[in-house]
Amino acid sequence: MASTKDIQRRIKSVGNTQKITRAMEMVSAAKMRKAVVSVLAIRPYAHAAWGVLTNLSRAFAEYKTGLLEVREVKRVLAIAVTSNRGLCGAFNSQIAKKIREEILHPESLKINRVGKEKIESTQENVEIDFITIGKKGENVVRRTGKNIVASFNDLSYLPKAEDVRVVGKMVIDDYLAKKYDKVVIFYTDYVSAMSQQAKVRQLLPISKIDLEKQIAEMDVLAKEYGLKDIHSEYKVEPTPEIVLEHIFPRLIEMQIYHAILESNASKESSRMLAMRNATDAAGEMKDSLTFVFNQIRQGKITQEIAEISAGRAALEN
Amino acid sequence: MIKFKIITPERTVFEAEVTQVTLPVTEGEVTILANHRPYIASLTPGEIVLKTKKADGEEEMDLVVSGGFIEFNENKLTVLADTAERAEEIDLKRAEEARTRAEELKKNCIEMDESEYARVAAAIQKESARIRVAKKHYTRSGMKIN
Repeated sequence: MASTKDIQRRIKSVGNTQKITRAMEMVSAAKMRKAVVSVLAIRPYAHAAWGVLTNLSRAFAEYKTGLLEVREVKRVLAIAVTSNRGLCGAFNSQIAKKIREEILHPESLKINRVGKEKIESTQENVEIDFITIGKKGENVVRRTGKNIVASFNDLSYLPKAEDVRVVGKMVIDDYLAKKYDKVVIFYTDYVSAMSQQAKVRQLLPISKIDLEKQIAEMDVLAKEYGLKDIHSEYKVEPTPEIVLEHIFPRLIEMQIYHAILESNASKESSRMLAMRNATDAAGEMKDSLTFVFNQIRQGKITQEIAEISAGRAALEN
Repeated sequence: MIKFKIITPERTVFEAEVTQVTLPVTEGEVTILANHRPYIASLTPGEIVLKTKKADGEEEMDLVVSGGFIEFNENKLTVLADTAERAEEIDLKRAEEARTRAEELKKNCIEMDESEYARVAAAIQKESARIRVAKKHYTRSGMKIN
C-alpha cells in the first residue's frame, strides 16, 4: 500500500491541476461571451449589405463573369478553420474528421452548385489544396498529404475584419486567375453552448440562392427579405456592375470572417465544457484519494492502539 | 432629417440623425440632404462630414472611412465601410507615422505591380484623410497640435 506521504502528494497535485482547469474554464467562458457578441455584431453589416444587393438584383441577375463564373470543378481550394492550441474537447477532431471525409469522398466537393443548378465534374479525381487557419488544422492537413498553400497561425481569438482580408484577397485572386474552380470553407458552426457542428460551405463561385441562405443565417431579419423586386429606382454610381464588383469581395471577406468568429465561439465553448469536465473529474479523484488516505491513517491509529493495549495487557499479567 | 448609420463588419461605428452628409464617392464628393433620390455608390478612402442642427447653430462631425459603399433611401443613409473611425478615436501621431511608412513604401518599390501600387496609394489616401480629420478635430476642441 502506498504510504500516506505519497497519497498526500498526489492529492496536492490533483488539487493544483483542478485549480488550473477551473481557471481555464473561467477564461474560456469570458472569451466565449465576447466571441458570441462579435458574431452578433456582424448582423447589421450583413443585413445592410443584403439590402444593397437586393437593390442591385437586376444587375446581379445579368452578372455571369468573374466571381460568379461557374466552371467544371478540377481543382478545389479549401479553407480549414481550427484552433492553435489543444485542450478544447472534440473541437479540432470534429473538423479533422470532416476534412478527412471530404478528401476520401469528394463527391459533393466535385459539384459546383449555383442555386438549384448543379454542374457535375467529369473528372475522376479533383485536386484539393488547403489554406489553414490554426496550427491544429495545419497538422491534420499535412498528415493527409494535401498541399497547403498558406497557413495563418497568428490570428487572435477576436480577429479584426482587416486580419481576415488577406485570406479573402488570396481566395479571390486565385479564383479569378482560374487556379481553382471552387472554394470551400471548413468551420465549426456555433449552434449553442452545448452543441457545435463541423460544416463545409461553398464560398466561390458565388451563388445567389446560397448567398441568400448564408446571410439569412447571419442576420435573422434577412429571412423575410430575400431578393425582392425593387420598389424604388436607385441611382447607382458609377455603375451597378462596378458597385457589384466592389461588394462581392466584401461579401466573401464577411463570410470568411463570420466563419472564423463562429469557430472561435465554438472553440471557446467546447474548451469551457472540456475544462469543466476536467475540473469535475479532478474533484472526484481528490475525493477518492482523500478517502484512501483517511483509511490508511485510521488503520495506522487502530494498529497503534492495538499495540499499546496489547503491551499493557502483557505488563498487567 | 436623415437617419445616418455607419457600420463595419466589426461594429456599428456611429448612428445619429443629421441634416447633411458629405461623402467621398468614386466620382468625387457628394453631399446628401434630406429627400435626396434613392442612391447607391462606392466609396473611396476619405472623410465623411456630418452636419447636425443644434439650438445654437450647426454642429459638424467628421468620420474617416477606408472605402466601402453607401445606400440612401427614404431618408435613411447606411454606410457599409471596410473600416471607419470617429475623429476622436484617431491617434494623430500614429496616423502620421503610418502615412510616412506608406509613402516610403511607394518610393522604395519602383517595380510594383499595378494592384500593389493601388493598395499603397489607397493607404496613403486613407492616412492623409485620417490626419486631416484628426487635426480638424483637435483644433476645434481647442487642443494644441505639436
